[in-house]
Amino acid sequence: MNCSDARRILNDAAHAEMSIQDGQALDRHLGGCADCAMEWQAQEMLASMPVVKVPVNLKADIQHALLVSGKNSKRAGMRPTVVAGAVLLIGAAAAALLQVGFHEQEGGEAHVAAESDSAAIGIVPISDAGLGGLVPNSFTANSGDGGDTSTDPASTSVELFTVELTRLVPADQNQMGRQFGDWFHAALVEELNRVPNLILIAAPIDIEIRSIASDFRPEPEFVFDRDVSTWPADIDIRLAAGAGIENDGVGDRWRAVSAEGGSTGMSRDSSAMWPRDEAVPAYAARLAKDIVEDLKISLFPADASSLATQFAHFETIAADVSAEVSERSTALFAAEELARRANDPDITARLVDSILVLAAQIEDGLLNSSTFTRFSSQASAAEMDAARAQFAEAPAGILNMLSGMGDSRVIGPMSDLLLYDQNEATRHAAARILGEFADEPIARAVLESAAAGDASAKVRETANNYLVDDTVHLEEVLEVVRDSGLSDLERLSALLYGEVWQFVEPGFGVDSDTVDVVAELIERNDVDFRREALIALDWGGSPSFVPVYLERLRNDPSPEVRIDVLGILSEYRSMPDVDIALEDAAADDASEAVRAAAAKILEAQNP
Amino acid sequence: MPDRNPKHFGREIEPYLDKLFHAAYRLTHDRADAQELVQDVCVRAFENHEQWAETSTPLGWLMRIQYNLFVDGVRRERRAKVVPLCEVEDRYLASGDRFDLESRTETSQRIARVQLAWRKLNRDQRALLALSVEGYTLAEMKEITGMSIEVLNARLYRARRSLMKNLEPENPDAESREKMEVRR
Repeated sequence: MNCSDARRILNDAAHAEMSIQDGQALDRHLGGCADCAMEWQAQEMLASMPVVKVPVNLKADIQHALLVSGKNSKRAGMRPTVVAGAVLLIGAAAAALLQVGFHEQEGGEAHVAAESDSAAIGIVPISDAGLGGLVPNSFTANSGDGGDTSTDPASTSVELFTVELTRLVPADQNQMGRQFGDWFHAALVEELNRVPNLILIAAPIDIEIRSIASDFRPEPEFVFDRDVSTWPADIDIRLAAGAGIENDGVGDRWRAVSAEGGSTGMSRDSSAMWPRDEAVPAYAARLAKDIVEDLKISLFPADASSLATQFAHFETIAADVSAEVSERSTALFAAEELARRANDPDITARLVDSILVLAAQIEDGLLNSSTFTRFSSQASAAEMDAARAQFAEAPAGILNMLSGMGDSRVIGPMSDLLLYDQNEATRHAAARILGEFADEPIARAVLESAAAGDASAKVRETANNYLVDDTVHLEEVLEVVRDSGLSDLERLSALLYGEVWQFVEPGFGVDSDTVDVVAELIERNDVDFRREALIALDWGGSPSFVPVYLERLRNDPSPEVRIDVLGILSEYRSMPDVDIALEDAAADDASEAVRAAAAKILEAQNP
Repeated sequence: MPDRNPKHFGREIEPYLDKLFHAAYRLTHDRADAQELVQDVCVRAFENHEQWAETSTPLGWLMRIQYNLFVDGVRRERRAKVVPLCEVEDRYLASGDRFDLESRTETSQRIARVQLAWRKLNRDQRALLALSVEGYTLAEMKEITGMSIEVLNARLYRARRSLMKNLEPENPDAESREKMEVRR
């Protein structure tokens, strides 16, 4: 078996059906070929990566996206879409997606839903949303209803902490949607902040504002007055908010559904005309309050068995490094509260273990500013010392783990560490992580600051490395080629295959002199070398070398080289001058074989 | 006339969602980004439902859209992640057993290393490797990407090599020694 056979098996995924003999031959080949062994190792490593389960809400989300897409296409050319979205991150424990949009009825006809529509929609308690017994029925904070102590807000110390907002602003927003988005968001945040003992597990909230009047086309600079009574009389707006909302296909009714037709979670559909006697902010606030009431979820059951089961859920998630930071934070947050409620020494010990593992992986300040503080009340002095020691001993490892998560939210904490941390290793690791986000303005500014003024030369150099131009110069590689004396074809080929192509990525800038230098090298060598070098250059698949190929096609004295070049150029027929060169070769080349090869390529349909 | 009803289209496309999501996750290594990518694919497919009605290889056609969206895609806005409780429950089935923290940490570290190396690949490389790991043959990948078999072979080789190189521990001294060896 040779490399070509091994690669064919690898790339055609046929190894599952390999015969024993082929398998043995492959094993022997891999044992003696480092290149092929490397390819197999890479492939098997990727194949061994965990495959996540398909999200349960994928189908519902896609259905919703298709519905929105369908509606957008119906109103195309009639009215600009307004989609002002906001993502709320409530603590690391909750997020709500808000979308505000105008929708035109098909044909621009006015439409008013029947009053009975609203009754059919209502609110779907999350306990009915396929969550089984995990979450008990909703409770109302400060309701004072006694009853189940597990849902008594007075019995929990869970606090609602940070609120962050990311606003998504599409190009075709209009003023009304944006204003409503602003008002609604402010009102929702205000409502959430009023709830003292609340854990929210996120639910997406979609809100659609539908304008009924077909002739209402506000200019982009149009500003609505907050007093709705001043609005044009023919504007009629209804709202729907909740998870997995869709209309009935013609845009007149709303309900929360799953792909299977069941309820998906919380929802609220006003399905009522915009109250003309209520100013927009007040209405937004009322809607926000209603939604918050729906979102209030008591996470915690009363019995020890359920507490232990739930703790196991969140314990697992909290330790899952492949999960999002916010998800892990949510899980740890919940696990802590469950452990506190369970008041079970075993669960408490497991919580301490979980936090210790996290401490080895994630800087506490990033995960959750209060986690470590709370941990200190759970752990013994020795355990605290152990946790601190882990932080102190492996800051770089911790930061590398964060970098591996690829989460741009590390920019803030990493910037702090790079600018202010006293430990050189920590600053160095932070610089390397920030370097991954060097195209982000904040990260770049911090890197520039460190490159200019960090006390450590190592940190300055690392920071500076991420600020320099990405253009890769091949001089060093070419120097190696020159040093080899250009006499050992095999060695040169290996170098070209092994080194040149990796610098010729489409995404990289290629040194403008490189093509000339390589062309020069190719020109002054014998036929075998030229053929090998040209193929090696094409191994990189870069269009940067097309001028070299064209020049070879026109001027290389060897028909063999010119035929090789034709094969290469057939992949670049979309590039300028390639087809012209092919036509010239088909008509005028001195070699009949070259003319025939060129004609054959031209006959093939241009991809 | 192809059906323009989004609900009907959603049902037609449903059998392919799992495969699309798995490939998307291979591409992005991020659940939310994968979900968003699949959603974009479905919307794009719906916008071109005439072609959908005509294609004899629906999955290949969808994968081609996904490949193009990913390779050509503008950088996606990273958002705060939503954590639906129902998803949490689905992903992690209840287990009363205390899991092995040590082995879990090792596995997590390995995954993180691979993810870090993966992120350093360019989008083309990630896209090709994802298709390959998902079991697509070169002929299928040719249909999806429009590249020739030879180019695919070359690029897959380069991508795997880059991945392995990205996995090597940073050790400037070792790298210098290696270069000196080459020069000699």
